[in-house]
Amino acid sequence: MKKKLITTLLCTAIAIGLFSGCGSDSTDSNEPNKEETPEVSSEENNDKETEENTEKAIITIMEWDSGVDNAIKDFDVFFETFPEYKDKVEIEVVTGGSGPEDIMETMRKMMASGEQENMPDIITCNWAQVPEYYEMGIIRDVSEVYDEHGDEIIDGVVNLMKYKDQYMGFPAEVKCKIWAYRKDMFEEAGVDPNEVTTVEELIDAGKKIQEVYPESYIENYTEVANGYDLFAYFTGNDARLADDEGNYICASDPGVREAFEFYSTMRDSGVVSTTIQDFSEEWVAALNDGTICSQVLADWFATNHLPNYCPDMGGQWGYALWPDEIAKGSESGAKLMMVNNSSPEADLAVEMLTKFCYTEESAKALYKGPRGLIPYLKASYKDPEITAATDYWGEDRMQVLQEAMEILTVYPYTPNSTLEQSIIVQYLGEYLSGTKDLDAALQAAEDDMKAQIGNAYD
Amino acid sequence: MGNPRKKKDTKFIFLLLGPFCLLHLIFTLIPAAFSFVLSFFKYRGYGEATFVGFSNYLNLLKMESTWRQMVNTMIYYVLHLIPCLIIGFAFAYIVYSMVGKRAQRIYKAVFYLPQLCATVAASLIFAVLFGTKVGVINQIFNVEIPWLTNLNYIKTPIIVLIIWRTLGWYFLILLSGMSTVSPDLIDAARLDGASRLQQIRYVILPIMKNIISFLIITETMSSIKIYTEPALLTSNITSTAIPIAAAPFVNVIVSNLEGGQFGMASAAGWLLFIVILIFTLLYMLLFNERGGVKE
Repeated sequence: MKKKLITTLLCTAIAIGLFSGCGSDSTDSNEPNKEETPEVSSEENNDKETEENTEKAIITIMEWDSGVDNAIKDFDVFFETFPEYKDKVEIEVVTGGSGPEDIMETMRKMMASGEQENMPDIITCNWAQVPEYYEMGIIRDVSEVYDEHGDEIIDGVVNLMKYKDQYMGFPAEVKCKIWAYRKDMFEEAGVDPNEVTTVEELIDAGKKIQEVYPESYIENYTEVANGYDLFAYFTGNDARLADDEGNYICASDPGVREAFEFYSTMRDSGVVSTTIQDFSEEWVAALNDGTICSQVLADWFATNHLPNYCPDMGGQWGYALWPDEIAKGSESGAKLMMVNNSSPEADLAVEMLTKFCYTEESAKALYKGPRGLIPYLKASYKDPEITAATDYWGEDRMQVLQEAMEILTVYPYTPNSTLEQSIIVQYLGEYLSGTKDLDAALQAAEDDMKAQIGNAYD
Repeated sequence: MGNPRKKKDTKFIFLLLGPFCLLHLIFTLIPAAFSFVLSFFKYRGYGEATFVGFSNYLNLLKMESTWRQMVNTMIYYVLHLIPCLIIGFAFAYIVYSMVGKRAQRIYKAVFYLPQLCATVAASLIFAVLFGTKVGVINQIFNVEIPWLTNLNYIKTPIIVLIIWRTLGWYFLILLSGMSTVSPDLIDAARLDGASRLQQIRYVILPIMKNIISFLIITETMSSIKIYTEPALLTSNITSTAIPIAAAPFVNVIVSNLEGGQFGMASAAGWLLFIVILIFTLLYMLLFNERGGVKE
């Protein structure tokens, strides 16, 4: 009898424990426990009210893993530049997963469970997710910011922040297409990247370098293809996976075909490594020992990664635009910071982000800060403190960046871009590995998109 | 008039099972039913859900990539199950028959260690081991095989990783099963002149049938759902997709979830459930396993 009683009590305790654990949410946990709160006098109440009034507003930013530390560093710089916010705002950076797709998935789930108010105040995403956030209708339209500051901002950046009739947010990182190259090796081989205008000339440049450095490559494209490589190329030749009505056309689109052929041609030419994968140990080693002497990629590679991967190579890397015929565009447009329209701190978030991105003080401080964030204001590029050479980069960098930002365009992403990208990249791999020929790979990609998505705008 | 003792027992059983059943209902059965309903809709998690009938299932079945990813899953499943069973059994037999009880504990811990290692960490280590130029494997054999960047080789490191991670589990279960074999029976077989192979074939294996069937059935259920190892080993931090040549079937679910196609993801989930169910029933039939305890 005693045993049964104890068992019953234990079971009940476990059940209560489990249910109370499941039932609590973040809002509940922040509420004071009323039963445990002792009665307070009116004087104490007044003190408490004053304390609450001086409490900092908490602004939550959802970042993906690799962006968390960066956001913390950037906002530290911001608070130093605008100390008036230090006492009234606290920035809380939370991770939403390993990439913008994970954050998007979290937002979808929160929408599905009606938790828009619990979403973070600031959501970060890549441009590929912008159309879907627009469709969700949860993002604050910040047109007033661009009405006021539009003339001061680089045109390409202003255009990038707009989707349909709405200005979606602020640039966290503009993803210009940049060709980063080893100045010393290129000079020795007699190659000037600024004179390379076509894909053929790009291959010739690679061959010239190999005459001097036989073990060196100007890029690395493996069969495990990367979406950022493919979409950066797409924006350069107006490739489209779907037409304006949302019908998938990748099997017949000349731009998509040309992009696939570009990677195949580059691999066959012998000037790119076919075994070194981006972000692998070998990649880092190859960047350091000259096995890879350039990357036809994006500014984020040069700004965020090169100084970390090759810290002892200051002054050896240069900036150039992609070859003229594929120079325009961007690698997935930009990384954006968008404000949740339902956030109680939305106005404050917009105010802070405006100062963060579009004031000269902030632009300069962030550029000189630990991350060397690129400014988006026209005036910044006339500031000698910004255009001057740094310990790592020469004067060419800011000049090339400004040019790249002027020719910024973005791929016409759809609300289904995440899945579209995943499918097309898989079939690029199939084509590069020889598993499928070009027609079969493109047709299979189109069939998969039709089967899994239907219409691109649905 | 019912037996009051039996009534009390029934109440007690309900009391014990109640919390689990309730939680199972809330967190498993209701979501499963919801996902089943969802598999007949096109739904992004917001906006309106559109009823599409069986078209999610039909679209999945007509996609070549679905079948290829299912074949990949089967390759991972078979190519890790067979070696793990054989090697796990061999190690278990060696440890059981040649090592003392105290030393067995050390072997158990050593073999089980890879299971405790986080999959992410293990995958990162394997990515370095199987690197083309700096990889340990290639350096030992003085070759330059692009294990992780050539789609013809890409399954190999994944299978090795899965075997490395799961072998300890097989070893542990098989060793426990072997411990239930009475030494008297083995001694008797030896006295009758049975060789080691004959002892295994006619004494140990028949007694361990239930353990082996348990191991195979539970492993089938979990390994057909494999995703983490191929995903982590084949994709770098910014890559967009697992190559079709390496992607397991669960990738269909994950990519559709990431792409906001909740209905399609649900349909893929239910297809996977059917595959696991078929395998489980087949094994139960094969091992004459009806479940429950014999009266």
